[in-house]
Amino acid sequence: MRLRRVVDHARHGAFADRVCRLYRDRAEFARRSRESLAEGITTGQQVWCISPGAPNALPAELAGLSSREAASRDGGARVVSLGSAYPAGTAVDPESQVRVCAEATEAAVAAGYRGLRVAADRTALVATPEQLAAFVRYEHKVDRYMALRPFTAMCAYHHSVGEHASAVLATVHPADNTDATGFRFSDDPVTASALSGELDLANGELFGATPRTVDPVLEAGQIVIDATALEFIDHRNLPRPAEHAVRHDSELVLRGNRAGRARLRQALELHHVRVEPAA
Amino acid sequence: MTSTHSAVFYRTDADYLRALVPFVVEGLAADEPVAVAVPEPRLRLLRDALGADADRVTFIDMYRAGRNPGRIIPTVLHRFADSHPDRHVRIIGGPVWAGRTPTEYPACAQHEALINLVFTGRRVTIACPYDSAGLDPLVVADARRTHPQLWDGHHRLASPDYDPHAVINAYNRALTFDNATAMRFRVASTGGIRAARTWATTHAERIGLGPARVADLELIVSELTTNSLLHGGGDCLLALHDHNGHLVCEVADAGHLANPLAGYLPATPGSLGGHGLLLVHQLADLVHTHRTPRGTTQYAFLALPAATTDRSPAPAT
Repeated sequence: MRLRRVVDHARHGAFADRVCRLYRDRAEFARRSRESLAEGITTGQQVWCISPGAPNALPAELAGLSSREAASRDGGARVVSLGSAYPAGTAVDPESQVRVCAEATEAAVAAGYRGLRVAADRTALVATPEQLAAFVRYEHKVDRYMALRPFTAMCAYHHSVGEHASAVLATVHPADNTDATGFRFSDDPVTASALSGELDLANGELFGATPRTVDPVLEAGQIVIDATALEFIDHRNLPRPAEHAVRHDSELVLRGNRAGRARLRQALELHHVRVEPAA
Repeated sequence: MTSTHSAVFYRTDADYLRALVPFVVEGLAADEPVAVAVPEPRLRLLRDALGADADRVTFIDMYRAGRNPGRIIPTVLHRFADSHPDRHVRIIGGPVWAGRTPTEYPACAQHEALINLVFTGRRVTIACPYDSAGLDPLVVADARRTHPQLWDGHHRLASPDYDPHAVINAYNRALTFDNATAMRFRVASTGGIRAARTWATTHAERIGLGPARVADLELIVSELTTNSLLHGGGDCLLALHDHNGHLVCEVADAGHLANPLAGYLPATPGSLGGHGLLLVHQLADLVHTHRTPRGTTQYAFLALPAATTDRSPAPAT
């Protein structure tokens, strides 16, 4: 599985292909966008800055990139309005949105770039609980595509989205600038889903809502979760993904048998949970 | 017929078999599932004496299954009874043997007392053998207080001393350790649970607890401190003691754990939470609880490697 971490800058580096960034004002968003997109240009990616409003009203985000005229002239850097990249005012359709990202990435690659880098202000896309739930599902699903293809993103949200929304969004990103959640739930190209971090009373309520929202992939009667980077899970939290498996009449397989996990399963008599060694 | 809980007093192997072989055979004749949960070598003694009937009996080595007396009710007695929900079951349960230490014994006596509260109304007959020649007279006296029925192989009678709550209360004591060597860590918020795990495992590794047991300790610390934050007034003091071959994890809070059965009942399938103490009993070698209206202290014992190797099987009694 891919590594997860907390970041305090907008550069992605080798660890994270999708950074969740909570920002406080437009200047911060513009600064972080420039950092992220400049890194994308340096690595030969086509870069998009996606923000509310018309493209010609958004010069600030790319102002710092103006010296890179070569990249801009041939379409290497674009400013895209939020409304043209995402369905405005409604919940995204996760599958369709992944396809949109994939088509844009493949077009960039076909045009000779080494991939697509997006810096997007998505605040307006998570205004309601329904929008948030749909977007979290999209974020989880796009993880798998990003693990396989050269699509990277800085997903920015204004702090006005609130503590709950920002925490939920952070749990489905490989990296973020808050470290408020203590765990991450990501898509993984091999096991479909991966859990990392530590789960206890501090984040149990947040974790409880996540499997249902993320809706891990069910294959052959099993929900397989790569838990090799899950450093700790207590007895209140292990039954949560297990309960999700039961709802789907399936078995939960936790891959990565850290000491104590099998004891937990045995003591709680969770017969529909299997703990097995990492692949 | 509902539950019966008898102390069976014996002085010799012949006494032992004279009382318990018929107990098993009568149960089998009545088509009742029978389990024998006693430590070796008594387990082998009964198995051999039963001959072909032994094939119809579930044998459990109590020395392993009942190492921590606090897990006998949920994982031995309850599990066997629950696996035959529509039948009357018979169980021979021997939680006390001559090798029990003074630290372990109070949990054995409390276990015997709690059986009476757990199986009220259940179709269960439990017989608990006591070596009246080899065990301390105090142990025999406690058995008379924790068993409503006494049996010497010939006669059965109602115990005139029966008072299980008196035994539960008598052993409800604080434990004392060397304060000079104790290590302490206060947990006052949910964020502190993670820090407590890290703190405890770091010290445990330094003291010499093996990797598998460090993982057990990590769960124990997390579950006990979580319980304290949820039910114990919002904060707790965690302490570790390197004591007499054991690492002792002590968690003290200001809550009152009023229910003496907390941690002694099996997990409810599908429930989220509520089984932290049950889990601690499964993971620890011994759990002692001191309950008062002003606060609760839990002590979970984990044998250090040297102590584990020193623990030879209990001698024959």
